[in-house]
Amino acid sequence: MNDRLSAAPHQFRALTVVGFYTRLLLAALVAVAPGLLRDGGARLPVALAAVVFAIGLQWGRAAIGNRTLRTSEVLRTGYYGVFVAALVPYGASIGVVALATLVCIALGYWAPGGVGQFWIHPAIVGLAFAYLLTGIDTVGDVAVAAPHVGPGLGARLNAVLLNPLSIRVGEGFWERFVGLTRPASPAGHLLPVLAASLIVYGEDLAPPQAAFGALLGHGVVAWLVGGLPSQLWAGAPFTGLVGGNVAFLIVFALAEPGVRPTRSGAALWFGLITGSISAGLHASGATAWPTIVAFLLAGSLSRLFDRTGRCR
Amino acid sequence: MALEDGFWNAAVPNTSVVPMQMHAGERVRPTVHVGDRVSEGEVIGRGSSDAAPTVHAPIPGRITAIGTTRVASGHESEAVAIELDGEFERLGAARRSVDWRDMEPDQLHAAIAAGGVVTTDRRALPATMLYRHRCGTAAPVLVLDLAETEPYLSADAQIAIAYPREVLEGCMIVARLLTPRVVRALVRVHTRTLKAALGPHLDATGVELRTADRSYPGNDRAQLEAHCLDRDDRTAEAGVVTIAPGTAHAIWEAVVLGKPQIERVVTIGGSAVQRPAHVRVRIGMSIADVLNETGGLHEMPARLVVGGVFTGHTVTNVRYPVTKATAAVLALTKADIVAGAEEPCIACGACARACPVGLDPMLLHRFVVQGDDTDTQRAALNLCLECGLCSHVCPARIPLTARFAAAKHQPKRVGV
Repeated sequence: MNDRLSAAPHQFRALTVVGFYTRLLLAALVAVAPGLLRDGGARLPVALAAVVFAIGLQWGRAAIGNRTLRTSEVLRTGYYGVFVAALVPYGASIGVVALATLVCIALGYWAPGGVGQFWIHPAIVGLAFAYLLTGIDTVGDVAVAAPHVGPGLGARLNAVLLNPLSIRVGEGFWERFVGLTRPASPAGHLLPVLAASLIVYGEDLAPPQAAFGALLGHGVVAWLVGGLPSQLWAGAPFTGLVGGNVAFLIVFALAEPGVRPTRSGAALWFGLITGSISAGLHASGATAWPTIVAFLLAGSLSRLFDRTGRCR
Repeated sequence: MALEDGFWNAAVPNTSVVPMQMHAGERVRPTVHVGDRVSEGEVIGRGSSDAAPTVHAPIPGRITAIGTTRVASGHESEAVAIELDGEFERLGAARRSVDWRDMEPDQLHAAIAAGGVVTTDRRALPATMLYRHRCGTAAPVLVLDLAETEPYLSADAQIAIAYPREVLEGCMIVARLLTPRVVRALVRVHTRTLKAALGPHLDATGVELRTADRSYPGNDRAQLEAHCLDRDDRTAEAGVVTIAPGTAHAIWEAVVLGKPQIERVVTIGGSAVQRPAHVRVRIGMSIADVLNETGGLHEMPARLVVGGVFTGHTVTNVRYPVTKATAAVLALTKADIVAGAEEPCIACGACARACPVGLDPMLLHRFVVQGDDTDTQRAALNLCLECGLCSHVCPARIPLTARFAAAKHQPKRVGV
C-alpha cells in the first residue's frame, strides 16, 4: 500500500531530476569538504580533475550523439566524479583517480544503458576496477594513527556507553568518531558525513530504510563478531564504521536511485544484508577493501529484492 | 486563496459549442442542421444505443455551425455551435414535477436516457448504460460518494450541500434500479457542513451515513470496500457501486423535473485565478468565459488544467468548451506546480511507492514504451486506476498516467 498518501502530494512534486542531483552533489561536497581541504587543499585539484573528466566524458558522448548535454547529466556525472575522488586514498596518483573515473562512467554508467538501468553504483564499479588494476593497498577503511582523545577519556566513554552493551571497539575509536584522526581518504570524516546525511534524508532525496538497514546490519554483525566475550577480532568492525568509508558509502551509495530496491521493505532488507556483509568483511580481514566489496556484492543482488510489484 | 463555498449561475454565454462526444461510449450524431432554431433543452444529438447519451441544446438560439472541436481530453468531437437567440422556456418557469416512486424501472431508465445523463465523475459514462448494465447483478451496497479526495474537486460536494434532498433522492432512484441491500453515503471526516446538510434528509430517504478518513485516490476499490462494506457484506458476490452527487442530482432533475443535463457545477481554482469559486455553467461555454465569470486571472498561469491536478488535462486553448465531464478549470501558477521537461527515468522508485494498487509504474512504463503487449502487462495495466499519483511524484516528469491510459485503450496486438 502507498506509504506516502498521508502526506500532501505537492511536496513531492517539487523534486525534479535536476533538483535531486543538485542536492546530492551539494550533500557530497559537504561530506568531503574537510577531507579535500586538508593539508592546504592539496587534494582539491585531483577532485576537480575527476569532476571535469567525468563531465567531459559525458559531454563527449553527447557530442558524438549530436545532442546537447542536459543539466541533470552534468550534475550526475559531476557527482560521480566527487564520489570517486572522495574514496580514493590520499596517496593515490591522479592517474588512478582518472582510471577510476573512466571506468565509473564507461563501464558503471554507460555500459548498463545509462541512467535508471544500472543496479551497482557506477562509482563503486570504477573504484573496484581501479583497486584491482593498480593494486593500491587501501580504500581508506583504515585510519592512520592519531593522538588519543585526552588521557583516559576514550576509556571512560567506553565504560559508560559501550561496555554495558558488550561492545568492544578498537583503539582510537573515539578519536575517529570526533574527527581527530587523519583518515586515509577524503570521505573518512564522520561528522561531515552525518551533516550531509541531513541534506540527503531531510529533502526526500532517498528513502532512509536502506541506510538504516545497512547501519543496523553492520552494527549487529559487528556486535556479534567483535562484542562477544571471546573478543574475536577485537571489535574492529565498529571502528571501521566510524573511521573509514562505511558511513559515507551507507549515506551516498544507497541514496543513488536505481542501486537500491524501490519499496520500503525490500530496501530495509537490502540495507541489512549490505551492512552485514560489510561488517563481516571488516571483521574477517578477507579483503583490503571490505566496504567496496560489500557494496559490490550486495549491489549485484539488489534487483532480487524488488520482486513484489504486480506487473513483474 | 481558499475556494468560496456555494455556487452561482454563470452568465449565459452568447455562443455555445456543444461537443457530441462528452462521454466514454458510442458516437453521438447531430440531429440538427445549420440555420435551425432550437429551444433550451431541445435534442440536438442522438446515438443509437444506451452507450450514446442524448445531447441537448444548453441555450435557445440558432445553429450557426456544425463541425468538429477538440475537447480538453485531447480528442476531437463533432460539435454544434449555437448562437443565443429567442427565449428561455425553462429559466424561471414553474417546474412540473413527478413522483418517481410511482414509476416503473423501465420508465426511470427512459427518463434518465431522455435527460442524456452522463456520470459527473472521471469516467463520464452514460448513466443509462451504466445502470441498465448493472441491473440484476445485485451489488449489495450502493455508495453515494461524497468523499472526493483529489485537490480542487469540490464541486460535487457543493451540489450535495445546496441540494441534499434532491441528491439523496437521485441516489434512491438509482437504488430502485439496482436494488442494493443497503445505500450508504460516504463523507470524509471534518466535513461538518456536508453532514449538517444531509442529516435532516437521511431518515426520510433511508440512506446510511458513513464517515471515513479517506486517502487519495478515492476510486481505489480496496479502500472503498474497506470503508463501505461491513463484514456481512463481504460475500462472494460482494461489490460496491458508487454514484457521485452531481450524477445523482442530474438523475433527479431528469426524472422528477424532466430537465436534461445542460449545466454543471465547475470549480474554478488555482493561484492565478482572481476569485476561486464554484460556478454553475452551461455545457458548451468556453473555458475563457468560465474564467471570466469569477473576474478572470490576476497573473499569467504556468498551466491551465481542465479537471483535477492529478487526473486533469493540460489545455493550451481557452476556447475549448465545457463538457458534462468538466469538473474543474484550474489556472495554476509556477508556485502551484514545479514544471520541468521530461527526462529519462532515474529509477528512483517514487512512482512504485506512490502507487495505491502496488504496481511498479517504472517497469510498466518501460514495457509500454518498448511495445511489450503480453497478457501480464495488460493485466497490470488494467489494474491501474489512472489516479495520476505516479506522474505527480515523478521527478523526471514522465507523463506515466497518460501513457498508461493510451496503452490501455489500444487494441491488443495479434500474435503477441
